[in-house]
Amino acid sequence: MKAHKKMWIIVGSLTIISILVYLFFWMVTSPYDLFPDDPIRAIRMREAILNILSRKGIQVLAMIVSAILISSTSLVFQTMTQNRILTPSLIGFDAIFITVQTAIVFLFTSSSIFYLNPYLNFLVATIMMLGVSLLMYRLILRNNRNNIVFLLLVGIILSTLSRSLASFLQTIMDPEEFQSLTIRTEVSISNMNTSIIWIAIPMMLIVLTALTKDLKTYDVMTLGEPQAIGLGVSYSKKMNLALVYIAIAMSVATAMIGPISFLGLIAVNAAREILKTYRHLPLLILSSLIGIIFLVLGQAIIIETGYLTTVTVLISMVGGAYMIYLVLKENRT
Amino acid sequence: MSKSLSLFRHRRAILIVLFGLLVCLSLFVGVLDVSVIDIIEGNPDTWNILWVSRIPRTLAIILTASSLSIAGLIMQAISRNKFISPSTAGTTNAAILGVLLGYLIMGDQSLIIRSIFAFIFALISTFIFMLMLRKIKFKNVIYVPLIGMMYGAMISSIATFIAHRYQALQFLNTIGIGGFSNKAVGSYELLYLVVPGMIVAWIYATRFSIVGMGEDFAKNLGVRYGFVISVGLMIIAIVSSITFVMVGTLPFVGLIVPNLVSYYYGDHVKKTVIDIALFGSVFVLLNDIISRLIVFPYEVSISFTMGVTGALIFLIIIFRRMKHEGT
Amino acid sequence: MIELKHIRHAYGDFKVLDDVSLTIQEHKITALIGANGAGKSTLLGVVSRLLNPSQGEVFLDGIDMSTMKSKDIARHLAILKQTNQLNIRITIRDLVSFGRFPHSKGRLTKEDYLKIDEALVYMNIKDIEGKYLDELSGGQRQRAYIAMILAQDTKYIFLDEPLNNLDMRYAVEMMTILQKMVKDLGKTIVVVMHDINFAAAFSDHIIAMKDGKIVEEGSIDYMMDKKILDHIFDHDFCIAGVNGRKVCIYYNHQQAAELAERKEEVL
Repeated sequence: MKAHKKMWIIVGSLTIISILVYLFFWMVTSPYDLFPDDPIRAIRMREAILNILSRKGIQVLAMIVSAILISSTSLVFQTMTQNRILTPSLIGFDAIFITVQTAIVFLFTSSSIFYLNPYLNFLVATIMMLGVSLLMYRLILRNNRNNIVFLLLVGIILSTLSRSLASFLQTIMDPEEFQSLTIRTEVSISNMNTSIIWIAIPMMLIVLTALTKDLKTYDVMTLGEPQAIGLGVSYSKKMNLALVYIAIAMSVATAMIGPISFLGLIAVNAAREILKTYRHLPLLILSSLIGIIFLVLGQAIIIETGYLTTVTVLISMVGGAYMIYLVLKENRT
Repeated sequence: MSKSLSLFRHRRAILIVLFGLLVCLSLFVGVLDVSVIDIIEGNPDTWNILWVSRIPRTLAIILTASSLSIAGLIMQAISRNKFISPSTAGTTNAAILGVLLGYLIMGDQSLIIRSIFAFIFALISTFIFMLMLRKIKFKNVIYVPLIGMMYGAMISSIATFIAHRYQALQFLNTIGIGGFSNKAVGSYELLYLVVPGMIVAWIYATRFSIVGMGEDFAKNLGVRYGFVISVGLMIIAIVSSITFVMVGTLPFVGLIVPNLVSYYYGDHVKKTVIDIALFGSVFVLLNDIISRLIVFPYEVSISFTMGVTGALIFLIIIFRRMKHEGT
Repeated sequence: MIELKHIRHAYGDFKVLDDVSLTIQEHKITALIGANGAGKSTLLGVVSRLLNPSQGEVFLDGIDMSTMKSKDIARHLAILKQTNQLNIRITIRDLVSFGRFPHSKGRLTKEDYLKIDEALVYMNIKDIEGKYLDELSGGQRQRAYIAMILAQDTKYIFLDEPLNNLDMRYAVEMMTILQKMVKDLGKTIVVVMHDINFAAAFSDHIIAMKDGKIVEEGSIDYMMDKKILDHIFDHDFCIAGVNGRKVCIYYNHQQAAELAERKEEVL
C-alpha cells in the first residue's frame, strides 16, 4: 500500500488540478481585464465572473457525477461479464434515450409538461428507459441465465432499431416539434443538460450507496458464477440488482452529458493496471478519479485550444486504441 | 438422403419463384405507371421508363444484395463466427474514413476515386480486424462482433476527428446516404465491378469452407491458408467499398442472409452460394418495394426499412440460436 | 519412409525439440508417448509440415519436405489434430468430401465419389452421412474425421491425441480401426498418445520423448519396462501381466499408504 500511497496522492492532486483548471484557467487566457480599477466596471466584472464560475461549477459537478456513475458501473459490469473490454455503454442507452424523448414529444407534444419541465422529463425518460432495460433483462436473462454478453448484443440491435424508428418518427413529425426535440436529444459534453443536476446528485448517491454495500460480494463474483454460488452468493439476484443500478446510472449520465463510449473502458482498465488487484473498493475509487480527470481535464483542454474536436471523439480514439491493445495483450497469458 | 435432396430442391425452387416475382414487382412499382399491356405493345414511353430507371434499379439491388450477402458469407467462413459482417467488423466505418480522406486529399471526386479510397481503407481495416481475431480465443461467440462494433466506433471517431479538424463535418454526414432511388442508366454501372468478386467467390467456395475449419485442417489438405484468406479479404473489401459508395450503408444484409441460409442449408459454401445470392436479393427487393410503397408516392430510405426488418429478423435469429445452444 | 534429421525447435530460449532424429517405420502403428510438454505434439507438427522447425530436415520418401509444395505433400501425408469444430454446419458427407480436395481441388469426379463412399462404409457411417456434424456424438464425429483422412488416401497418417474426448468403448473402437487400416490398406500411422496402456495394446512400435529428446524407442515388450517408463514420466510404475499382455499400473497402493502414514506423523 505504501507504493500506492504516492500514486493516490498523485491521482488525487491531478483530480483537483483538473477541476481547478476547468474552473479557472479561462481567466488566465481571457483577453479581458478581469479586475479593473474602475469600481463600477469592477462590480460588473465580478458579477460576470461569478456568473461564469457558477455555470462552470455546475458543469464540473455534472461531469464528476457522470464520471463516477460511468466508471463505477463499468467496473461492476466487467465483473459480471468476466470481461475487461465490454462496458454498459455498448447497450446504447443514448439511442434508447433519443427514442424515448422522440416518443414523449410524439405522444404528449413538445408543449406538454412532461417535456418542458426538465425534472419531470428526466423522470419520465428514466422510468421508460428503466422499463425497457428491465424488459430486456427479463426476456433475455430468463432463458439464458446470466448470459450478459448476449444481452449486450440484443441491446445493440435494439438501439439500432430504435435509432431507425426515431429518425423515421422525426421525419414525419411537425418541424417545430422536431426543433424543440433537438434541445433534448443533442446532448453532449459541450452541450450539457445541467438542469437536472439537482436530481442527478441524489440519484448518484443512491446508486453509489447501493453498489458500495455489495462491493465485497462483487469481489467474490470475480471468481465466476459456479464458484460464487458455491460460496453462498445469490448470484442471479445480485446480478439483476446490479443491472438495475447500471441502467439507472447510465440513464442519468447519458441524460446529462450524452453518450461517452470507452470512458468506462479507459478508467477501469487503467485502474486495474495501476493497482493490480481484484478488490472493488480501491478500483471503484481509482477508476472514478481517473474518469473525472479524463473528462474534466480533457474538456478543459479542448475548450482552451479552441474546440478543435470534442472530448467524446478524443476519448473514443484513445479508448479504441487502448481496447485493441487490451485485446491483443489478453491472449499472451 | 433423397428426401433431403428433394426438400433442398423444393426450397430452392420456392426461392427462385419468389425472386422472379419480386423482380417483376420491382419493375412495376413506382411513381410512373407501367402496365403489362404497354410493355407488350411496345409503348416507347413505358419501355423508356423500364430501360432507364426500373431495370437499372432492380439490377442494382440484385448486384448489391447478392454481393454483400456473399461477402458476409466469406467473412463468416474465414472468421468462423456467425455474427461477423462488414458492419460488425468496422469495414463500413473504414470505408467512410476512406471516402472522407479521399475528399480531403483530392476534392469532391468521381465515384471511381471514392471507391478506390474506400477500398483501400476497407481492406486495411478488415485485415487488422482479422489479425485481432486470431488473437482472440474467447469462448462466447457473441464477444467477437461486440469487439468489432467497438473497433468500428473507434474508426468512426477518427473520421469525426479529422472531419472536425478540416471543417468537413457536413460532408461527413452526407457520406453513406444513398439508396436505390437514384439508380438509373449511367449512374449504376460501377456496381458491375462486384461481379468478378462473386465469380472468384464461387470458384474458391470450397477453399473458403476448408479455411473455415481451421488452419491446421486447411494445411493438411494442402490449401494455402494465408493466400485464401487474402483473396477472401480482397473480395470483402471490394464488395463493401463499391456497394457502400454507390448505395450507402445497407444494414444487416451481410449478417442475416448467411445466417438464415446456414440455418436452412448448412455451411458448405459451394452449395449455398447461389441460395445466398437469391436470398439476399429477395430480402433487399422486398425491403425496397416496401420502402417505395409505405408512404407512396414518397420513398422512405432503404436504410430505415432494412434497419427495422433486419433488426427484427436478427433478434429472432439470435434468440433461436441461444435457445438451441442453451448457453 | 519418413526420416527426421537433427530437428531442433525452440520458442525463444526454450528448447521444445532438441536434436531429434528418427525414422518412421512403414506399415506399422507407431505410438509417440511422453509426459506433458515433452514435445510430442510439436514433433508431430514438424513431421506433418504444420510447423517449420528452427533447424533440421524432414525427408518424405527421400525428398526434403521443405522443397515440396503443400498440396503435393497433402496427397502423401494426412494429419488430424484436435477436432472441435462445433460451429460449422456441414454434413458428414461434405466433411469426408473435403478429404478429396488435394486430389481434385473441389471438383469431384467419379473416382472421388467412390473413395468417399468407401471411406464412409469403412468407418461405418454411411447411413448417417446426411447428418450435420453438430448433431453427432463425440465418437461419431471422430469417426467422421477419420473417414475424411481415409478419403484423403495417403500413405502416412498422423493423429494427435485422437482418443482424447472418447470414452473407453469408442477409444478401443478407434484403435481397432487404425489397426485394420494398417493391415488392410497398408497405411503407416503415427499416433500421439498419453495413455501407455492403449499404446501398448494397439501399437507396433513405441517412441518415447522427454524434454524435447527421444529417450527410447522399440517394441512393446522392450518399452513396457519399469526402468524406462519411470524415467520418461518421472513416476513410480508397476508393470503387471494381464491375459498374457503387459499392463502399466500408475497407482501403487502400498506406496500411497506409506505416504499417508508419514503425513499423519507429521501432523
